[in-house]
Amino acid sequence: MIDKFKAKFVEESLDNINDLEEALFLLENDMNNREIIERIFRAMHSLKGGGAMFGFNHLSEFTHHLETVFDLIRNDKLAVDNDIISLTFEAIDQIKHLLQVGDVDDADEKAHQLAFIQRIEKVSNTGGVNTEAPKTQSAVAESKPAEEDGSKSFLIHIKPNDDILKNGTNPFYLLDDLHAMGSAQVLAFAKEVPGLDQFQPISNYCQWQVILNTSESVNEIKDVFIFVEDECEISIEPLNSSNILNNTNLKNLVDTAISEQKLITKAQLDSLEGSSSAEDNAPKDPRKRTQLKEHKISSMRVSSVKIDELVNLVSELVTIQAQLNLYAEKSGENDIVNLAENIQKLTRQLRDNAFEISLIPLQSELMRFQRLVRDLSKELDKEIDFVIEGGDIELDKNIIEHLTDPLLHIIRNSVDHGIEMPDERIKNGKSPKGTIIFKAYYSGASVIVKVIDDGKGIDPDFIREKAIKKGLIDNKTELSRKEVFDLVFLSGFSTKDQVSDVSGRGVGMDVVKKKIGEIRGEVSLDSEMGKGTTLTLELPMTLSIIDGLLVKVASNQYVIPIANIEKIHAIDDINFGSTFSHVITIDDNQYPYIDLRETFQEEAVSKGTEQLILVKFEDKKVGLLVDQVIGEYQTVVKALGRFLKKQENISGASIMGDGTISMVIDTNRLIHNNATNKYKK
Amino acid sequence: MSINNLGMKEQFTSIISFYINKEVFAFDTLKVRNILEYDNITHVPNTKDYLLGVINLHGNIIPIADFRVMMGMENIENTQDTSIIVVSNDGKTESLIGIVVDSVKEVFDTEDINVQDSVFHGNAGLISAFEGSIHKNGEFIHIIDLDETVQEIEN
Repeated sequence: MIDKFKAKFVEESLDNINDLEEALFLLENDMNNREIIERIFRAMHSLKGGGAMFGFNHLSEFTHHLETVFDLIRNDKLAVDNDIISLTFEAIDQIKHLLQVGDVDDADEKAHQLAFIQRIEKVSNTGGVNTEAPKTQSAVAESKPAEEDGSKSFLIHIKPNDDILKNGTNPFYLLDDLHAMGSAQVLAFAKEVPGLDQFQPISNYCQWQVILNTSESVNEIKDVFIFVEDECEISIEPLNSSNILNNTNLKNLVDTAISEQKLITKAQLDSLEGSSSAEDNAPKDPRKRTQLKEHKISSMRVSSVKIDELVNLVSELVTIQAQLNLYAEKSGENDIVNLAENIQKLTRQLRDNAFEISLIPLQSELMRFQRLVRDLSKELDKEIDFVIEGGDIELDKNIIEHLTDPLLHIIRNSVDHGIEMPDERIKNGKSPKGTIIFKAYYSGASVIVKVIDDGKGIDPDFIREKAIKKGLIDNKTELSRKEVFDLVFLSGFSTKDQVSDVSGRGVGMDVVKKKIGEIRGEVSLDSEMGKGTTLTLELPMTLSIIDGLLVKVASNQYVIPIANIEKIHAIDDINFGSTFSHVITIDDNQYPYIDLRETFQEEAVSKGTEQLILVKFEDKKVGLLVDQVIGEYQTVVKALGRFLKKQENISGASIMGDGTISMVIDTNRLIHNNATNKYKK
Repeated sequence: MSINNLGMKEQFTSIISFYINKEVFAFDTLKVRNILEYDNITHVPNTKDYLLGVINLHGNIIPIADFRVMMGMENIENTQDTSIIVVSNDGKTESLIGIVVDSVKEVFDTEDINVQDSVFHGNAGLISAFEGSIHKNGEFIHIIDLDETVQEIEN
């Protein structure tokens, strides 16, 4: 967990440093610009604060001194000059370096930093820059440059088995990988290669030794061999010398080893260190290396507009690709059919990829909820543990955006209404500390998010009575337990009689339901008196592309999301013989069904060959009666726009390969709307 | 409403006129994106009766409203001349809507023509807001206020 934060901090700091550098360049041309000075100060300040928080204490301390200089400048106690700017640039390099190595207890490192700090302090104390660094310390710092970047040397011996080539492994790739980790000297040993008469092209006869200087750990090196472990003899020996590749005598040793085809030993290399002549080599500036390393960017920030655009383009491509398929099928030409199939494959991959890019982990929002619970429970004098499970679940960023407000509301409700005061909890035999569990997990093509509290729960009878009082239901209406809890989501329903400051300002769960509905999600509530309340959200993973079943109702085509479909039955008149009040018997089970022709007010075309599609609705199965099932179809869902947004049964429209339009049915809403006819509203 | 906005409202330089039930109406040309044949409308169930459905216009889903129904016209018949005028009241793609009319008449400049306050007194059904009327060749042309009309459809 903390490593994750650290990585994020480094990433953010690099942004800050970039900003800092950019601002410095600007300052160079416009030395009295207050705005730029403020900007530099701010960037330094965030580096300092973040550094201390994430355990980069050296970085924090170092930046602090730098910040002092700019604080003086900010307050007109010091004037910017070229020397200060140069010093700051140098300091930025040091910050980068510190960001890379973290806190190291290396004496040289410390001395170097101290020297630097002294230079900075001189500026802030005297108001001028002493460009000359204290000689002794800088000399010490530079005498052992290699260790400053935390790199080490290793002697690696790779002896592949004879048949390694048979598996398609190319040993050279291993060498390339090692090379990529730092600087390396490779020694090839090929004396076992037989004469041509005995030579087997699929056998391996070679082995290699690599002297590698890298800042990566032994484990990283081992990872290179992860797929060939069983096919090679690998030995990795750390060397005493930090960077033996700079050693002038190494060349002789390597040359003799190659000409004699004799393996080098660790002892040989370590003894070489004795005659090391590091001073002769121009020592590489460690900070220069740092700059080079930055080019290995593991993640980057892209504006969400660009990602939306990418997803849109991919959606267009999916539509066009369907057209191509249609054309190819019609033409019947083999070549074009093959081509269309290949494009389909690629499109699918591209689609998955593009959607993966737009997914972000829930984690990003959870901190806010944690804060909310903490602050709110303090305010209300309650003790609450907030437990998070499944924070790494990923969702489309558009969904997460829509999710935050409803979730804040739900959690607020749990803290405010759900969890009791500590003394009340003790009285009821519970631990004084309440728990709210935030849980997320995948279920098929959906993501389930639950907010579970162990508070006092909700009394179904109370809900019922209240709904009657508010005129939402008759007192004769029979409702199942689940239906009673669903009443909470009707507009104008708020269980707390007194409007509290925290939640329940007139807007209630109906808003939550509406918001979740906007992203094609469902919300439900379950509660047990005295034990607690659970709110469950079922969300689609992505909004714009779904796998659907294309069906025909009268003359129109509709798409039903496959994720919701349970089974398809062919129905004939005989089954209908026994229907009563929209219940049909199939395989000795009774299901309620909705005749889509009736719902959509279409003339029934035939009553001979109809299909019943069983879809999941909450914990039940409900049939949808259609004229004809056409087939599976990958659909790009487009919004119906502002003029048709009131249409509840349809969640969007999709353009088919031939340019016609199909309506995408929102089965949950459709069934819900049908079922809620028994409510007055 | 600011003065600027009021000023903008009057500032159309040309209009596109069309027939509905033998009356002539018009839109500001700048609000019009396309004129299409009446064809291939996909019905969207459970909507107001004047919303006929949607069409696919260059990959965009465009809703279609029948002005003939909105104006309370009876005995609606689709002919070769029946057209869809695609308009956007604020220039945004998401605001595009297709309007079904009996036939499109003409486009003409209004710069030299006096726009009078509308005295439309016939039964215009759901369309009640007009930006003004033009008297031309013995005909009155009523310029429809698209902002108001769009709002009516949206609610």
